[in-house]
Amino acid sequence: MDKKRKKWLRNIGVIMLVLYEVLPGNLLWRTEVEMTAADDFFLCYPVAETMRDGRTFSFYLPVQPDKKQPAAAAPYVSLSEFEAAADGYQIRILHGVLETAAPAPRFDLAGFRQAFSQAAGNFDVQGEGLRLAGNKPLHIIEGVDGNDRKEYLGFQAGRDVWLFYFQCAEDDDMAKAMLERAIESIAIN
Amino acid sequence: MGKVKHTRIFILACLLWGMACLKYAVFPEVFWPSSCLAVNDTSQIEMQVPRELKALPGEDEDCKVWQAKCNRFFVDAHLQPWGDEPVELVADPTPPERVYKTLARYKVKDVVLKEADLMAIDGRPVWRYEFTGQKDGKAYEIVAASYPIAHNSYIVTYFYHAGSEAARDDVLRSIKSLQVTDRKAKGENKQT
Repeated sequence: MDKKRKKWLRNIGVIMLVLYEVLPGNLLWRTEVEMTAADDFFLCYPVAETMRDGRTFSFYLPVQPDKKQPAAAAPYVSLSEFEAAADGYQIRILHGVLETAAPAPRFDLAGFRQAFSQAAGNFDVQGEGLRLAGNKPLHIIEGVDGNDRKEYLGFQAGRDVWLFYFQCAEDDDMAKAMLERAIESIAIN
Repeated sequence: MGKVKHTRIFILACLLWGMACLKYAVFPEVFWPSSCLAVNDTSQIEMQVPRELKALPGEDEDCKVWQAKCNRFFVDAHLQPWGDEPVELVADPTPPERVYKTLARYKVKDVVLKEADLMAIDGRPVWRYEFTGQKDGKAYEIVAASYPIAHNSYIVTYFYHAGSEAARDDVLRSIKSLQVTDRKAKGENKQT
């Protein structure tokens, strides 16, 4: 083998080694689709209840909720309660059925505090708003209580009323994201 | 061999070492750490995944859960206790209910089982199931492996984008890396 060819072989060898070290994996071409922030993987526990108008109200919670059937109190003729709690956050949900669709419940701070009396505390309202769920408005009140972030949601469709209470630490971004995801997942089909 | 050639070998070795460091700095998932998952007081599972598996604070229907999101795939590990019954090898290739429950937990829809294969890993019979499914409007391929360990079933599920060959290779490498080791022999082990 002449000197020139030897030199080229050595150069190719060095290039191959450098490529092997620099490229991830190996030198074989393989199709690769990377995971991005849009690939959301979180454990979801679905809750779905049929409403009086035949549609289904559904949402996902980050932990398995406990379902209770507390005694109905006016103005509701039946009540069901979902409770989910884990490290750093707490979720309470009430589904009430009104006798008639007429008496619309108040979705204000006083109304929410009455419904979730066990979650009382100082509450500085930071924002109020509306979001559409199945073409009906979802009332949202959010605020802080000391180091806690609290959010109340209210929704009415005919005789069915849904009240949500979310609480997590103000500086716990992961818990906040989990609660946001639960709120975003509310759907009516 | 002359003096010069020794110097050349030394320089080349330094160059390769430097390149390896650079490769690790640029692509941290090249060298995979071993994740230690506690099974009971005496044994643990050691598994290689590009990012260390982290334990979730809560349990999913009495199962301990670990998760890791890597560059090419997401991995979920469920340790399902069977109480006093030892877990026996099931000859039936039907995936256990827990696998479908895990897929439902991650909102994977239109799940289709493509393949079920019995493998031997670390001297254990392990069923490997391959699925396709849709999640948030995107097509994913899912590989689940069910390992019988003492009185538990260890079910690990990998999710990656459909058609990602690199991810599939990584998943198979991770599935084959499982080992059950003694917790005491390792001294202080992480609970993760």
